[in-house]
Amino acid sequence: MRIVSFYLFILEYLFCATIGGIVVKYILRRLLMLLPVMIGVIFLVFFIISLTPGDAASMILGDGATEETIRELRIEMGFNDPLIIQYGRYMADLLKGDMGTSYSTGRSVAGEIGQRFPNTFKLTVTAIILSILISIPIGVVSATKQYSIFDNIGMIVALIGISMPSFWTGLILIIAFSLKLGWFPSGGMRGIMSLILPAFTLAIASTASITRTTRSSMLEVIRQDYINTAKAKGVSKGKVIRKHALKNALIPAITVIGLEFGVLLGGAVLTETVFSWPGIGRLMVESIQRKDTPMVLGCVIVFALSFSIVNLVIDILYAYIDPRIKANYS
Amino acid sequence: MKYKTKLTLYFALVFMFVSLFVYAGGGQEAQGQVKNEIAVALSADITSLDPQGHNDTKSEAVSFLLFNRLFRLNTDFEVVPDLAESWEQPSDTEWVIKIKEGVLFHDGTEMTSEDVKISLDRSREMPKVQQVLSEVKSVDIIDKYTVKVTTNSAFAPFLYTLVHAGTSILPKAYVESGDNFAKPVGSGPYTFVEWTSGDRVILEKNENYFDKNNMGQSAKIIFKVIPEGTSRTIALETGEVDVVAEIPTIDMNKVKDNADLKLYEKPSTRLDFFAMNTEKAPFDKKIVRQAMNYAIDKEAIMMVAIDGAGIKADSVLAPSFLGYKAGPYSFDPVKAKKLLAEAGYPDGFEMEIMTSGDDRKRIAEVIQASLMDVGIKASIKMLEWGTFIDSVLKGDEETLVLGWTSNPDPDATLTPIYFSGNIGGMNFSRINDPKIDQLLKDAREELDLTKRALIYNKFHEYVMEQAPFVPLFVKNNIVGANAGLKDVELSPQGLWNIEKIHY
Repeated sequence: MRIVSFYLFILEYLFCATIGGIVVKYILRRLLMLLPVMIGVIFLVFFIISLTPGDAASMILGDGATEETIRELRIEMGFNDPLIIQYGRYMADLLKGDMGTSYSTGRSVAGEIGQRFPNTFKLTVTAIILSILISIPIGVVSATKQYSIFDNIGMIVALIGISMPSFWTGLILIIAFSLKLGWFPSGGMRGIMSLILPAFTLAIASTASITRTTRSSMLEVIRQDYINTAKAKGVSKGKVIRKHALKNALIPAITVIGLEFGVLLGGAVLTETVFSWPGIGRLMVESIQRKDTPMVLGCVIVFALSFSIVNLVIDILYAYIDPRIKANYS
Repeated sequence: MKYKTKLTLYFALVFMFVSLFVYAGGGQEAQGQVKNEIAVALSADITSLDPQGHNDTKSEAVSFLLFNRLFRLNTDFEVVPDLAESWEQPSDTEWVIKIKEGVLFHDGTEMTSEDVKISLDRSREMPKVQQVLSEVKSVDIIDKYTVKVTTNSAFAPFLYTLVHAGTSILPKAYVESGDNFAKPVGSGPYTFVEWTSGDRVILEKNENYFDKNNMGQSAKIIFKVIPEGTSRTIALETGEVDVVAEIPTIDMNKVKDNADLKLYEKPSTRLDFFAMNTEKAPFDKKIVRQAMNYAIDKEAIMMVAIDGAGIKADSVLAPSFLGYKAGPYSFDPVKAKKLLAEAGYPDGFEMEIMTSGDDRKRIAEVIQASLMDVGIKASIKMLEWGTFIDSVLKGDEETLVLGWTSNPDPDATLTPIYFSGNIGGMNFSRINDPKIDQLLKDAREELDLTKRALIYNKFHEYVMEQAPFVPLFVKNNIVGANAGLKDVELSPQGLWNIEKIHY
């Protein structure tokens, strides 16, 4: 439900913006700026991978391959060409929409990522929604009732949440809720029930940072003069917090949510591993281990793209929430 | 009031009936209805459905169910015919193999010698498996069901090469269809249903399987990818999977103590070893290398590295191999010290152990402690895997700790590791000994199994006397399964004959 309204809101916003024309220009500019970012990222990763020890040809051939066959394959795949030429070739293929085939599986990189990325996306969206639902209310209440028991407990819980490594949290959740209670499957990706534990594991970590950010920015806002003004005008306490304080305090929280979301879209390797979730994070790590350059590059491209797009969306959200920022565009 | 009591009574009665019914139904299901599908947990996803497009054990497990080879291995590591009906050797380099008649592929077409030829030819060209049949010179069709394979030279391990998944027989029509193994068609006891990348592979029983004695037992086999060891054990405990091909050693007792589960163990083909660079002093001296064989406490290493789940290694291969013979060494620090003194190192020396990875680091640390007791100061150098292998190939190391998983024929391990021509390759100790080379060559060319085993006996004796390695241990394959499962079998290569497993 939340996702739907989120998208509706974006559409509505873009529609409104078109009338002004300003924001569309801004978005286009940002999208254009993505291009050099992507080229840079691919360039960096391409060269870093080639610097790591190990030879791709012998990785493809596996144990027991003779020197001769390795040499032949190296020539056939163009591994002997200068790096810059290999890079050029890769980019040329990429522009044609061809991300190449995996060295280790021989399957198309785009196809494999197409299978894995939606899984990561599903998990990430659920985790972020979960953590927003938990952390914003806790953050707000902690701020409005500063130094109360609730505040202290909330912050301690947040501290614990941020300190627990996700593979540990994940295992504890599995032991409690699948092994002992049998409520959820311990892993795999079958239906909504299998989504809950991994999403919750991811949510716990991000909940902690979002709660703390919300709390501190709320604390800052509720000491502003306009809050006192609103109170003096006789606006009810709840309304002051919801309409006047929270909206202004959300900017830093949204930044953190955006960052968390971007990072999670790159795949949460540990959580995906503990819960046997077939996401893109695991794919990337396995590919790095196998020195499967095309697959690693494919994952990196998706990671960089989704991170940039999430950032863009967040920037647009700022403008919606804070008219002062929108005013800056024009 | 009265009405209410009546109503309560009514509901209580209904409740009792329902629960009785449910109870009875539940009991019936547990006793009468046998579960007809099994879920097998794998530690990593398969890499390819093309049996000639991979060279790893996970993909192999699936390929073995979808395809047949001319020969297969039984649980004792002996070659037995699979598709082959009969075979003979008109000369040392020629093998005439006749396949069974009436073998049907999953698409209903019959297997002929044409399919065999195209499969073996393709196997020699596919990058991942081209090394398997590298000794084969040509494959010729004799008649509809017979092929003749010619090898480059007399090559004793030939039949062993035909058990590799890379020599699976594929239908010619399918290979030429260009489907690229998205929906593989084979002849095996199971047919392909679906593969979700990183998640699962589903296979269904092939009702038309040619070998009625070895039909698939369960209607469905699902391979689930569970990369994390503890998660695999938990999935077995919750019943989400029925078989786990690799139980982590720390979870062994948990499975053993659980009445609903059963633990299966069998020594693998993997040998972990300590190798000495025979080109570098003081390891160029045989007597120093022998001293190391007495100095290192293998039992302690096994406890630390694999929780004791294995057997002490006494020679350079696992005991399941043809011609295996244990070496003369035992853990004896006093003798080690004496030998070191004899070699001119009464106060020991300083040396370096190079290795990669946490597991091997722990092994190296125990070795370090063992050597300390005989006066040798060993330092440990940890490297990232790629760098490690690069340095080893260059011969930078003094000593190293590594493991090697062997293919079924001894030659496939011994020639790469001990043949002088492979210095700069996998000859880790860089041993260059004409007698070793000769023994390897003789064994490779001896087609008589008994004589061949004797040559390998001699090889083990000689190589252990030269002592370029300290063999440490052979790890067990550890399979966990639901106690209700029948016919769970292990070979030295791990979970075996998955098609036979059933409730």
